[in-house]
Amino acid sequence: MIFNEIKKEYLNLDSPVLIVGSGPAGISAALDLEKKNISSIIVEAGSEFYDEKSQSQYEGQIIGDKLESLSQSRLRQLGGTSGIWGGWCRPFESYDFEKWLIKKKDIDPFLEEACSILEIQNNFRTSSLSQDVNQIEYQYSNIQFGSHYKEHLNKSDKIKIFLNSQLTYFESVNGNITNAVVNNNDKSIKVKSNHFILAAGGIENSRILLWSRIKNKRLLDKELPIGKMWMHHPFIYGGKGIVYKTKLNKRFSKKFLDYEGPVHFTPSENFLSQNNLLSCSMHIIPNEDKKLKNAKQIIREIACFAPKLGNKLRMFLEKKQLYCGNIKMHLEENYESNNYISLDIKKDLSGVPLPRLNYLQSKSTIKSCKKALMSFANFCVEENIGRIALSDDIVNENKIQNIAGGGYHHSGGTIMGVNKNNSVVDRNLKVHNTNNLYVLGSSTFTSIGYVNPTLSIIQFSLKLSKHIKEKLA
Amino acid sequence: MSFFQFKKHRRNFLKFLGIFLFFPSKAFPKFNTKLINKRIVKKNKFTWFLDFNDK
Repeated sequence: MIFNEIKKEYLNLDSPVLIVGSGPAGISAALDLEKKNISSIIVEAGSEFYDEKSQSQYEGQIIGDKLESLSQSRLRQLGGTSGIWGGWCRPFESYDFEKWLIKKKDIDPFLEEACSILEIQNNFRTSSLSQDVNQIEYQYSNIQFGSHYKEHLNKSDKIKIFLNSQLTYFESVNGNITNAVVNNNDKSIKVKSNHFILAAGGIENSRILLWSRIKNKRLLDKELPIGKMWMHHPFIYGGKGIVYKTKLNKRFSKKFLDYEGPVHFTPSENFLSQNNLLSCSMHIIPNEDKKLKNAKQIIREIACFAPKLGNKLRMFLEKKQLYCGNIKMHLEENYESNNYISLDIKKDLSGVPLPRLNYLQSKSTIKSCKKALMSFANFCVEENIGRIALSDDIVNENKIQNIAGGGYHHSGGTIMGVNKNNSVVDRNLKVHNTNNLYVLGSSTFTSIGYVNPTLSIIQFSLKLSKHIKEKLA
Repeated sequence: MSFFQFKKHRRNFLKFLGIFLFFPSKAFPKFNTKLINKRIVKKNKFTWFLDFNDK
């Protein structure tokens, strides 16, 4: 059931799990707990639809390099940021888990179920085109969690969602969280539960824990690196170019993954480890603008220095045998000591300090991006399957200014690890030295890889709901 | 070495020299694809990676 405010009569009923946030992480966990016959309460700070006043509570200060505004890169409403996401899905690669406490095999069992929640096929092929370059396949989900699951959530007896209810901090006794203090219509209400899951997003998870530590010094250790090891996932324009569809097909026959939509490439694991690089992915979206203005412009540009080739490309474009456009890239970032979330002096309407994000682009990310793109450009020439151009910012290893819209994947801040000195949560996503407080979402990721994180976030939600069921049994 | 053997070797050598001078890419095909066939063009804040034969 979904309510616009907290209904106190429902708080007294036995709901062993309280989930903070109704994004993909929170709703997936609640849906899976419901299947296991476990009731849960979700508190969501936003309302059912976009609301400007509510959204403005997501403001925050960014210090350092250019980054998308914090109020524009996430959504405060039922369903969270899935209300504006692009839907690109692909699970982590096994080599992404090198720094993790767990391995890919630990979350693989939840992939099928995560795909069914997102209504996509569990089909993420990788094809090795050369020693250095792989072609990869994504699946694209149309699910916006708020609108898609609204009817189900409204009818559910096991899930109660209270909208316009902002968690401000947690209260505890001896490491046991007893209450979540929630601001609902300017009233402070204490919500009790047995297990608390913080699934409020890549910035909010750190902000709430930092504020909870200030409000209740016994709850969270001073040493816990809350807000630290924060990572961005830059989504940039790395260059532009053309790739021949027919030549790819001819040259690589069965190895080429021929399907409708964008074409995606990534450096191979071998190439990354040999050159000690961070990972990245390269995407060419063929019909980004339907009139092919951008594609025609690129071919016109090629015709300036290679007129014969330009003419040939024009014919290929007319026959729709060409991937032609900007090359968008997702880049992995390492966590650096410069990048962390702290609390500002300014407070929001509920009295919680706004976040202050310190961020500097990492040089190793830009270097890795350049090497990967150059290797891909060389590969295209050597195999005669396309021609690629790198932007000058990448060639000169300047700070990246040319950011593609979307792809706001905030991660880290409450990362997973062995102990409280280097991490905030353990392998079961439980906050160190607490008994019943869990964190869900990309804030727990130890590395972000090149993939879009939502599918993996849902895999972790399902893993956590299984763990909670075992605890409750 | 007989006269005929010498003639044969000389013919092969001259053939190779001709190919090397006029069609270097055919003389060292593997070597060529990596080093000779590249052409870099800078235009409008972009660096294009082209083949030497892209005209």
